[in-house]
Amino acid sequence: MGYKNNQFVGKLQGLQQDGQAAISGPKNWKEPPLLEIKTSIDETITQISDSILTKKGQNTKGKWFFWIGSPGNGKSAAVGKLCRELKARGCSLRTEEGEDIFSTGYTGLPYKIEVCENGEKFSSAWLAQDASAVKNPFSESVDPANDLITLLSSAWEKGVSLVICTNRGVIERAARKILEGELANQPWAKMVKIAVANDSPTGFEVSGKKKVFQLIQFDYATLDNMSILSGAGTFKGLIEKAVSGENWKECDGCAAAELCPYKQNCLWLSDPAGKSNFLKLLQRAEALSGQTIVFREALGLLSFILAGCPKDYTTTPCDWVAQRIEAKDYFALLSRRVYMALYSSYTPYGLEENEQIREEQVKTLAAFINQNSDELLAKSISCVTSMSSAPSLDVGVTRLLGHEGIFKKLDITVDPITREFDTKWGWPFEADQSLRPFLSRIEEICLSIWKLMDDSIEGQSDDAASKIKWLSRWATSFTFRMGSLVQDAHHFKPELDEYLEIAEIQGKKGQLSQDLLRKLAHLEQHMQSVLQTTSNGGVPLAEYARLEGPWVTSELTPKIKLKTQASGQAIPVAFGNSTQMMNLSAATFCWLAQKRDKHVAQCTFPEELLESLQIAQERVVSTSMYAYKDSGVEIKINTPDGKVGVLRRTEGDVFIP
Amino acid sequence: MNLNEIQQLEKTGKEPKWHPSIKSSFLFVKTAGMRLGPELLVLELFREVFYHKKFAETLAKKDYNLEAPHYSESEKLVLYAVRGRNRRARKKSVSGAPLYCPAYPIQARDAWPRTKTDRVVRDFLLAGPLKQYAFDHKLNEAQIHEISECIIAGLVGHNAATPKDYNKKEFLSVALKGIPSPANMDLAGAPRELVSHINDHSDVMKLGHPDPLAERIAQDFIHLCKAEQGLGRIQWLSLLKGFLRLSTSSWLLAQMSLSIKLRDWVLGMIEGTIAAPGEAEIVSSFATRHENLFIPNIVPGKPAEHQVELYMKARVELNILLHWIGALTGSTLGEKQIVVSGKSADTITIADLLQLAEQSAQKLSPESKKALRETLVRQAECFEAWNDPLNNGQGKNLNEFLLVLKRNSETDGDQSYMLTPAKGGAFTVFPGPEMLITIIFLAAEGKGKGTGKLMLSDIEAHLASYGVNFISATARPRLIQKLQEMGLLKGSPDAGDSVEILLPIKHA
Repeated sequence: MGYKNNQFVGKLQGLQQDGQAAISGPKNWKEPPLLEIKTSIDETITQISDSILTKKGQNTKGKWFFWIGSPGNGKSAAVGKLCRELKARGCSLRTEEGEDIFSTGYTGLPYKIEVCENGEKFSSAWLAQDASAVKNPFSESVDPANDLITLLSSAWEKGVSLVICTNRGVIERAARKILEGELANQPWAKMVKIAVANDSPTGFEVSGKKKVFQLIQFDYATLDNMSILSGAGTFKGLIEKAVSGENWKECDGCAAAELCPYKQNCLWLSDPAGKSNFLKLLQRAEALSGQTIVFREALGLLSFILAGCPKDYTTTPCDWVAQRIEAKDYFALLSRRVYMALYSSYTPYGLEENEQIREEQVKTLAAFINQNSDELLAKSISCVTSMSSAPSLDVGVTRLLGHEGIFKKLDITVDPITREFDTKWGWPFEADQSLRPFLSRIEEICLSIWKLMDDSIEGQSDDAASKIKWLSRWATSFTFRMGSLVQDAHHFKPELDEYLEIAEIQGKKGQLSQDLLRKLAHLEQHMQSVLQTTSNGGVPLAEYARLEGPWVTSELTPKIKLKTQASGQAIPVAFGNSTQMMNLSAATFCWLAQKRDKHVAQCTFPEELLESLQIAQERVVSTSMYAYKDSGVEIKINTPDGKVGVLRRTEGDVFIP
Repeated sequence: MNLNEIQQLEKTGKEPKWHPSIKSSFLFVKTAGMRLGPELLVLELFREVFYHKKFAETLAKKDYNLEAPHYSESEKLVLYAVRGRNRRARKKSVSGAPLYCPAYPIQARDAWPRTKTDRVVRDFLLAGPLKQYAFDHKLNEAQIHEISECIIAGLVGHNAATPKDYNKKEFLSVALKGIPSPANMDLAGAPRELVSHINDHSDVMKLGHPDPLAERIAQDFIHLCKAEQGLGRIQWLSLLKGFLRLSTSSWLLAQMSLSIKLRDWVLGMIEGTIAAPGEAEIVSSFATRHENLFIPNIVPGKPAEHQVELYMKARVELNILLHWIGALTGSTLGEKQIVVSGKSADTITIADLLQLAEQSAQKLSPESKKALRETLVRQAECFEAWNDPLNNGQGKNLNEFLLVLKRNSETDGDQSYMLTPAKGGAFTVFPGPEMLITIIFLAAEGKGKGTGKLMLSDIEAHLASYGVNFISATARPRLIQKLQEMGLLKGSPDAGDSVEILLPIKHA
């Protein structure tokens, strides 16, 4: 049985953030994307493709559609799909220079695509797949907002349908330019204003002769804060597509299959419990980061887990696996297991992060090799200690996987390990067959090597303690993380689950459970106590002045205020009766919940999280008009001699009580 | 002609006497001096606008003496509430007196700078960017008066209490309501005082279009004064301090860079190493003089010192060069005022000056031309201000003034700094949290309502319009991280400059 080459794994590499398929454009629109799944955007695409065409004069109402969102959240891919649908309807799609974007050899990234229906000479619709890009990068004054304004103006002039994808920043800049200038009354300028202000879309009549359409219906969609992890299950769909059996058929009969981390990661994610834990973890990571995981990040992450890092390869991922097996570099293979990919891809071979400490660890591990060593131990540990072919640490998706990434903040090793967890997942580790499919042949071999190392310590006295320490630290850096993903146990897990539970309960019918209400009340108390402790009570106004008094207590006390409508992954907090709300970040929530449940010390509360709470309070104070209230307000002032003075306001007047 | 044959320049203090063509022109940089904290800028602003007597009659400045019997306990508490850091005491074991900040103009009655001191608020705000703004927009007296009224309203307090009317008035003003107005203070005449600074076209820069830096500073000041109406005085003062700190420093640094640019052109023209820049290039170069004044970075450096050093050397050299041109061409350069555009009998445009510089080169002997730079350096060396600009003459003063942007210590509560001290007298450039809040507030005010959400690009553009350019690879991620830590960032991770910013302070 020989090694095989799975083409699908090779193609997956293109989805990494610097990969060929990461940026959607005509060159990869010819075929559906590698991981094509049904999303809520599909319906919109079908509606657009139906309404932007004249259909030989049957349709007199054209359409303008703006997709507004952040980079990487699938706008261009949606236009790619639209182009394929239009081609299927018999349209030709060409650049301004007349080149067919689907022609063989076309590799450009056109600013504007013209859609011509069934052999028509003139276009009836224009598509701008990335209006955030500049039209002419060599121009003296490059400004995508100006290019967008020109595009809108000329599309309106011709009366054609128009579909544009743009980042919010560009359309807002264009809106500002339009509103400041003489074009503000143009119908297309009004469309931009509607999109920017989130107003209701409407139709506009096209005046003048020789226009393609007589009426333009305007609509827009914002994709800024749309999570692909909740709701429609887009991320789940991506995983299922990526691990579907047909994509991995080529691995059947491959000599490396049992030792291939990618195939084994595929089996992990195919397992219902494995997939479920993985998705829950990602949802928590998204909440903690406070920012949605966009399509490009999701694809980059899946690509890394299922195809590794292209920087490691001279040929294909499958060849790399075969080479590592031949070299007995089993720990390189183990380093690419899904749990290590998530939690420890920023350190080589799961070793210590700090370089100096790592050197000491490596030195000790090298001491395990002597002339009596088992060949398996000697070869595999030599690979680790020499580091000459260590897996790359430059794996992309740094916001999630980097050494300051979100997964590191969720890593179980940053928390004290419970005795129960340590017994099951600590060193020495007993491989349990019930752990399959999560326990693969790779883990078995590496466990056997660690066992050999452990056994070799017996009878030694000189450096036994040091060897046991470094061996167990190294082994548990793998086993703890594996256990973390298998058992769905990680840092901040209960806190983030509670956060998501509260965030998601909004907009749902039915009463909140007694338990949840109790938790919310406790949380509010702790939020108040944290804020008071940091400002010695009251709300800080300046370095030496803080606001207090009955009015402040009633108007500025933080209160979790769940909305009757779903508001995404955020917990709104109101201060008193103020209409100003702040979103309680997941990170702040986690610390507050830990303070509530584990009684952690106030001084451990991260300064930056306090800052955000205080700024939120400041914001509320600034609109509260506290300075104009006639009663119930007092300002406490720290005097230079260390005393506290009070200015109290009652019946409009201010006095010293 | 040999350059050494030209009569040596007259010396004044530690540098050559100003060439008359510069002294009366927009190129002339007024003097500045140390301000220990932004609180002193607020004090100076109030004294400039509301008091007949701006300064002390003696060389000794007058500090607040809260032991004086006329200070009520309420007034003392107001001064304590908005005070700044403690001054550094001579003895390390004791802390110095705090830097007090007047909350309202009335509280500026008992403290003022020493006599004949530099007037940075007048020169780098009122008769600087505001004057330039009024000129650029061709504002008539009535319009200038309107702007002045708007500024005065903010400084006096839109909702300030009087002894008889204090219900629903601003908290601190109620605490101060009983203080009698001093004879030296003139509230009614304040708009007139302000107009006198603004409505004067004597040394403005005639670019042919609005000067972007003046535009930004003037508009922000007007927005800030308007916004006073809906804010508590303490929060508004915090914004005012941040604004005064940044605007006066940026204006000064930008003005300094004009002399550096002109020195380079004049020298290049005499040497024959550059082609004469066209008027469009001159205008564009002057209009963008504020670019990259501050480049936020994590690597410590000496940005202010570096700028002052460059400027002082350029200033000395430019005076020498203009003196040479006058002597070589026998022209009446000394009787004219340098302008960007608008030639008249009393003025000379930059373009004409450069032509004159080119002509003067023809009068030079080949040896002199060859040794031009060396001769320039030899003559410049005669002035201490050129040799050691940071410790002699105006360079020292300018450098000391720019330290108003410095954070003194991590525990003094100052958050609106721009420079954080590092080892070896160096600084890292990065706006402090209150400075960021000030900029975000002003950017939102400038953007106005109904023009969409506030984006990171708006904040970056606003900072850039003050010369704070986030061009270093490490600075932008740090800005994003800082805004995230402050809870002000909203949106997707790689949205770049499209990421939405929440307003830290909103006025009602």
